[in-house]
Amino acid sequence: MTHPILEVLSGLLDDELGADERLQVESHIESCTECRNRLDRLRRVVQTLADLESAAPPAQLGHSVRRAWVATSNPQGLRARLETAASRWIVPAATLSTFAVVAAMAIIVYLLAWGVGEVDRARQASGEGLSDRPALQHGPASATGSGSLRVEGNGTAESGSSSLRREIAGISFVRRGDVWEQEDLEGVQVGRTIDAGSQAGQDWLRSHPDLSELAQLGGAVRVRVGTEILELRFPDPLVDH
Amino acid sequence: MELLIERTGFVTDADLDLATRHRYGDPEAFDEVYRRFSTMVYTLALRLTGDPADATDLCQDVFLKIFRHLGSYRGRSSLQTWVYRIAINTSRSRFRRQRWWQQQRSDAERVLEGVPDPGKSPEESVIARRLVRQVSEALVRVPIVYREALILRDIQGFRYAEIAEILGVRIGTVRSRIARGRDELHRQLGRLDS
Repeated sequence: MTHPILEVLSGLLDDELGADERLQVESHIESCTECRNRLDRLRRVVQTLADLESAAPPAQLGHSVRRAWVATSNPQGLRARLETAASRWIVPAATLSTFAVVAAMAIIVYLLAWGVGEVDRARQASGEGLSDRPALQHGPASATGSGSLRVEGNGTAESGSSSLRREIAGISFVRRGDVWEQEDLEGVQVGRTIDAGSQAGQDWLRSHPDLSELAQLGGAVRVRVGTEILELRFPDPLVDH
Repeated sequence: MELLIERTGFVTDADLDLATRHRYGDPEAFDEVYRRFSTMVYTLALRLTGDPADATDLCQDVFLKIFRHLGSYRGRSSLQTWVYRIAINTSRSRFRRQRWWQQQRSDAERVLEGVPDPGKSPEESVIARRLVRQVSEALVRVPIVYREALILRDIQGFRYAEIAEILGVRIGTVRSRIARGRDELHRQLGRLDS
């Protein structure tokens, strides 16, 4: 077995591995000093946190919560509730101006994309458009292809920006920067890189036929195979052919 | 660490009864909610913020939200999970507004935690409090998405599935965040020692 990755060792500590995986990892650790040391390091961190005791809230917290609740939960407390709500939305002037600049830039990008769509439609109407390209629509460009492709502007607390998702071979992938990444691998370190364009890479893909569909993503694709995190480098389908 | 909180992942009749009583204005329901969840919410807030004053403010916000929405609790998850979810979402809102993770507070501004343990000598109490402060300072330097998972797992003792429900992510994501959080905390503790 290759050295287990960090999250597998961490899962072992938490008794969150499947039975087979746990046996494999424990067997490997018995004979691998490096992994034993890594596990010990994790165990020390866990113990350090576990030694932090629960913290009792200050005595006055209960009183202040009750006062605030009474003030906001009765009709006479309406003014207090409005004041509390207003205080949450008072935004510093610098933040407002930043927001205005960002909003203006977003509008400009939208208008440019819409303009490109108009030009392309005009070219297609006059017979100059590429016959094998999908027709662009009003507003932001969108594309369809095999597999399910959704463009989401979910504005999550983590990314704060739009992301692409695809499902290939039953695995959900998310576009993060220049990489297509299996959805639950955010922040996980890559164990090995495979050049899918090389002979060795082609041989590897032949031995994993279920993953050959990943080639349609193009570029770098990060996926978990067994207990290993791999980065597969495919030729870009739009550029390399 | 002995967990002071009785943890359950299941919705109980008591949970729904408490929500119903609160909806109908029972003042004892208010006290019971606070009694049941104040320590765990404050502990979470303190470990997320690293500062007792900020934790107190955050706690007040959390409990106001709990009381405001408790009447609409329908038991889709356990009451404890529901409370934790409110606490996490409230802390994220405050972080976004106040950018706490960018504040660098000097040691002079931090208040030593806790009260002296009568079972310890004065020297032992000082050492223990210094250690707690060091760990707390290292913990607030861990990126917030990892820190939340780390606190829920290693301090509050939740299983991965429970943490996934609280944070609204997949179990695989929880697993990687905890692992990365521990790795980062180890690095931060090493920086403080050097």
